[in-house]
Amino acid sequence: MSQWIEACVTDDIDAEDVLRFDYGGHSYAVYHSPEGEFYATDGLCTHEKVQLADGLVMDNIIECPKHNGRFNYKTGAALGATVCVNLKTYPVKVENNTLYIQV
Amino acid sequence: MAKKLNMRKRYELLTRGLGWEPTYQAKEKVFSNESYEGIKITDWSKWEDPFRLTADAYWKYQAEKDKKLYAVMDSFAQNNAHLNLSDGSYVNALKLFIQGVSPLEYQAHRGFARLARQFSGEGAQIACQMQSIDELRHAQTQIHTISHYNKHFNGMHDPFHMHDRVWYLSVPKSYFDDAKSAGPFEFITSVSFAFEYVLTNLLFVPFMSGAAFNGDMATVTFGFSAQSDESRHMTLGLEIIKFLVEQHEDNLPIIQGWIDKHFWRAYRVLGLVSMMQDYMLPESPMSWKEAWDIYFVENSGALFNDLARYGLRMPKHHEVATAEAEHLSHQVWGIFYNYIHAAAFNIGLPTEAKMNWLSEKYPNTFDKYYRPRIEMWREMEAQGKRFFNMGLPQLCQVCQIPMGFTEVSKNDPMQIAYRVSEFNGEKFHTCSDGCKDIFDHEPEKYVHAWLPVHQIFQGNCGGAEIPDILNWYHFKPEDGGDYKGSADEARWKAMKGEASPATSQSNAAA
Repeated sequence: MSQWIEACVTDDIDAEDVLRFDYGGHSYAVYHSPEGEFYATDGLCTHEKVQLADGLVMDNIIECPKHNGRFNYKTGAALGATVCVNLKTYPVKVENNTLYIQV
Repeated sequence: MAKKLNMRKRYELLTRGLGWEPTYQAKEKVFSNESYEGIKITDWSKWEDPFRLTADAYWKYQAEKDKKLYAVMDSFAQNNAHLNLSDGSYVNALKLFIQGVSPLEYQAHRGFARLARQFSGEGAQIACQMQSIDELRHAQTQIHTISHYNKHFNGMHDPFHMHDRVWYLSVPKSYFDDAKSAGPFEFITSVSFAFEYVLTNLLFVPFMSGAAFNGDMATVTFGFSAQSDESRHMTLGLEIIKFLVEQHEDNLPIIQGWIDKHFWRAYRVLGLVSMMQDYMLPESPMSWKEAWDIYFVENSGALFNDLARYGLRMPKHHEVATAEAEHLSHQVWGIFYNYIHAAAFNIGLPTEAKMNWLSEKYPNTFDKYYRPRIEMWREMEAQGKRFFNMGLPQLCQVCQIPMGFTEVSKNDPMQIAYRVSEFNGEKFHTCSDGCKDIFDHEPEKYVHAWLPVHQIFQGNCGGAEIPDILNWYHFKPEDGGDYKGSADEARWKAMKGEASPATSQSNAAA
């Protein structure tokens, strides 16, 4: 059953940056887009199990630091080699400067 | 307390922030290699990073890759896992790899280090610097992996010395020398695009899938580790081509000319891979022709369709290479059957099972052109008349391969292909239209080619007799020749308990 989980306060993530968030033995990555919106995806790259939050965000792209596969973090779309499996995305909401993920 | 910088800001500081405008020297003097090839760069800031890594992240992830690889290598050595190989003759593929390919990794390391210094764009500098370090890592990990085999088999004791001198190793060496002695933009077009992007799968997949099929998990693991860097190298190759073509319209014909040239140069080097794949692997995952169809005809065909919008087309003579795919491995192997006494690996006549596999994989050519010759050689061997060619072959002035290729693309596969160019009143010979085009475009470069056969005739290779030359190569007498009856075969049988230890020890000590 899905539930809303508190991930962080919005000030924790700069615009165009990413933060790792662990809950229930699962890693998530939460993003703050340059336009000021928030997004969430699975935390591990779909290619090998590497934390995406160690990678670099530019515009709406996160690049995995290990093999440089790129995903659109807004849609989860894998954007070409080395990644070919899309990233799972999760709904988010902001209430009182707190970011929640629906997992 | 100051807030920690986010990744994006750190990335900008650690990449673009490393550049500066020189004040007491002209920029053209600081980056003196950037203009003489005729390439026009109007704005380096248009460079889009093919990957986004800072140096600290690079070291962290490369260290992780190395840790994994060395754990596998240690376990391989501790368990004597070479005993799990399909057959001892498989190791000959590794000999060719360490002699012919690993030194190229080192050459690439040097080449990219020069680019990191000579490109004035910071993004390109960083990408080339990381690739330079990658290539050094590849040379090192390959040496470390294969050093385990060097404890048990011949031919792997001095690969870098051999690479600089030996007749068949001058084929890969001269290709990289050609690229390294060109300007930085030609080097990167050659190595990053023509080689790493268009043809790399034809080098790595046959070796690594061959390793997997034949029980060599150590080599598979260094292959995977290297391939994880190759994905970065391939994106760099594609980015540089697109960047150069978009910078100025005058760049297009120069780039296309380099693609044509270095495709052909690299393709000729891959002739060695084709032989390894079809004739040297005890268990063969796929034929050269099958690999060519997938990785060149299909994949590179799609790539060049995509690049058509930049005005780029398929490399010149690609259709010749595709026609030759049904002949290449057989012709290259035939050359080595003639001269294997002067090599530092072993080959042998294919078994009946391998012949049938070749018939199946090459229905248009093997039974018609190549099986009869092999059967004749087999008959001669049975009569105790094993044929070795004691003469020295004529070499192509460009690719440096003995002139053994035929007029396949002219539907005359029994006729040796032979081209002649004249320069300053002298004649120079090449093996194909591809190599002749390259010679004719820059004859003043290729007249300087260090051709191993010419060097032997000129007295520069240790002496006039075969033992003198092999000694100068650092080959031992037992390094070459047929696998059957070789010291390595005896050793393998002893390790597997198939021969008396007395026999194997005397061979191992030989």
